Amino acid sequence: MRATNVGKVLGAFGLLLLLSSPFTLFVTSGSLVASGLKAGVGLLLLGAYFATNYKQFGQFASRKSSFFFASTVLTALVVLGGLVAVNYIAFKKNKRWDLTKEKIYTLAPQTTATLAGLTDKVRAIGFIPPTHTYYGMLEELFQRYHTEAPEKFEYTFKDPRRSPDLAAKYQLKDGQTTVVLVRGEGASESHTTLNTLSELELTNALIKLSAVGTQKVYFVTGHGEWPLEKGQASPTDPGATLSELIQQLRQEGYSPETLNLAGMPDVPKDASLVVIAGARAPFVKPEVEALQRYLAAGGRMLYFADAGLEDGLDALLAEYGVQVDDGIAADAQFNSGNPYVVLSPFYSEHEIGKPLRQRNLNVELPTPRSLSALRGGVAPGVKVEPVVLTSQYGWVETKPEENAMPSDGEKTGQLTLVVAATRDTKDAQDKRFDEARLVVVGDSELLLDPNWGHEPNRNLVMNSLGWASNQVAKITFRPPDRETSTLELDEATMDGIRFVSTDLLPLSLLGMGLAIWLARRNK
Amino acid sequence: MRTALAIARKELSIYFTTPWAYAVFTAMVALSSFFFVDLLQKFKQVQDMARLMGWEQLPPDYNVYRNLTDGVVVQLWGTILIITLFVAPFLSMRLFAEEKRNKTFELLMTAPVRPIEIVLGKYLGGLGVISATLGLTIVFPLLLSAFGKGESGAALEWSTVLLGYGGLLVWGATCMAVGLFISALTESQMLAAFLTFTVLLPWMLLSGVAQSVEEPLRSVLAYLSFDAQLQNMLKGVMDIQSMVFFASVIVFSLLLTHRTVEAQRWA
Repeated sequence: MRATNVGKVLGAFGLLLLLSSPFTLFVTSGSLVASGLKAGVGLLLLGAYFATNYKQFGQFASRKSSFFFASTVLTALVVLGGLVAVNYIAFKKNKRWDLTKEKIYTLAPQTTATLAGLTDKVRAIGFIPPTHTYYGMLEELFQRYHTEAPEKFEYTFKDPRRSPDLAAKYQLKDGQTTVVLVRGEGASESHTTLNTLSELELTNALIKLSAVGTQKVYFVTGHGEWPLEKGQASPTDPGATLSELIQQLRQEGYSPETLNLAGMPDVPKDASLVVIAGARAPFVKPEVEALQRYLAAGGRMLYFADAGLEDGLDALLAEYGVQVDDGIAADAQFNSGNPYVVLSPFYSEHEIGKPLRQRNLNVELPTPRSLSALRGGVAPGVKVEPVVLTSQYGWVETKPEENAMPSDGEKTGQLTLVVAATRDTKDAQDKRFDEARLVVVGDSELLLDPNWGHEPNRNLVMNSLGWASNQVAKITFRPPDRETSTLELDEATMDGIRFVSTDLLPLSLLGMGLAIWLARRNK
Repeated sequence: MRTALAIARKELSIYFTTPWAYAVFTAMVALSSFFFVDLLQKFKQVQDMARLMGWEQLPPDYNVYRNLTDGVVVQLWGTILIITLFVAPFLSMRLFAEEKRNKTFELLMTAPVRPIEIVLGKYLGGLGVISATLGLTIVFPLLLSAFGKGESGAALEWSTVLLGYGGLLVWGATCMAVGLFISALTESQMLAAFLTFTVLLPWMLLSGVAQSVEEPLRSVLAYLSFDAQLQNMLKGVMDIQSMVFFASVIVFSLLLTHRTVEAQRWA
């Protein structure tokens, strides 16, 4: 065989190997080495083809055809450049028409209104690997938001494993897929995260992010509460501060400040949320009354109790249907090593606990107090819901120093550790909001710096904070869907369809081909 | 243009009087029918399960089977897209390669016809035959609309069905343009078919490649992928960028074909 022919055969094999190398990488073996090897051998074989057939190229590029060859290359390049430019413009200024009957691929009016109302640019970061099932769906959703408001909504994707710095910045855990919405740059940057990937959740997160920048969170001081900054820590317990929580609040756009109620007639008007974290000295009457007035006018408060702490706020809590039980809540079922460190995977249906349950996160509360719901003496319009509970085998230990077992007279069963209470305040005078919100957590040590790294606890606190401080009612809309269609086929009809489509139709075409072939043969 | 149309008519008459085209039609219909019946069977099973247990009890992935358009037609168009990838090279391979092998190409070049008219004529002929091939598959939605029922009367959402079908035709037109160019490069029909397939397949798989790279390369590759560009059309969303992309591929392929044909005069 002549060398030129051998070269052609090798070249054909080379082309085959080269073009099929992506197939090897993405469809068959997935091996980068195998794919690279195929591509390399393919290039070598193509090289052999060019080496053995160079004369043909030489002939083609002879003087007669060289002008044509040059003009062809030039024309092709010019046209290609033009087409690339047109495609770039089409990509950037793409127009789309949703031709589905229910417009199921069009943003809801509530979303377009939210995007129009954005004052600052928002950047969405999808922390999701490209191979994830929902990657395409999320990208399409982001694209729709970007198309609607290109100046105000941008998006990028980051693989959490390839961008550990960003994942750490937004405190994401390994393997966690989520979306982070970021507003602002540098020191003024604030963000919020969402774990459920849908238009409804994304729009609500945008609303939250827009509203959160102006929210002041007051931490009540003057009763031995946990200090906010590292410098204020006790020398005997330098880690016992809330500095990590404060830092996260700032990152998420809240403005945390201290509030000493002594001598103040009322809680400041600009308070979006009041936090009482581990108070150990009693509040005086005017302070309690100021807090009562604040809540009665639709205020929002987070209250953290702890073992052995008494602060004189029992009457205020009772008004909202909550009593902090004496003693320490204990549960040996999930943490037999120390029943006073309660590990709990039990959440109610309440909005605060739902994300923790969905992600199978167990909260861990060291020496918590249990909470009881009160029926008498509760203010009108109050509703109390449990959020976190112990197992069925919990008990209230009244003498922890004596034994760690349920004793006679001690409360046993599934204890409540966190509750959320609301009060209808639509008719209140000088109301702040239409609804007062109060979250009572039986433990305050989960807020301290050494415990802040425990993700489930952090989620519990930030969810409570988000729920309590939410000024904007969440929007709800039903995502459109295609209408339901039914197909009631009995077996005979199904057989009929099967016969027509898989038998009659192909055979008729085959028969026509056969007839044509016979007719041409007999001509 | 009249000459181009005459060439197209001649091409079509050749296609429809050769048994080869009917073999391709049969293969297309047989394969599509197989998938259609399979999808229909699955749809029927899920609907029966939903009647028994309620949709809430079924996995969320099954929601697609609430509707005939989503559950059968959109998925069927997706399958036919892949079948076309295999069928189109067999229809385009003969457009120039056969003329070259039969030595009639030189005759064509000496006739008073401009290369642009030859290219357009051949392409329109190829377009006619791929449209006829894909046209046969419209029988499946027609069958569904005869037996299915919807809340508001019509079983199928015809706007989505027809846009998806339009997407298939655009895809067929693109395959034929690429096939036409490759057919003009060689006199071996089998080589033309094989090369067309080996060009179209990796191009189709670009969306897979895009998934494993970072931005901005990811967006570029996803844009260049046939598969990604067609997905919205199949679902019922029309994008200007997809139309521009496919028109660009067709125009550039026809330009290259024209220059290849013209090169014969200069060789």
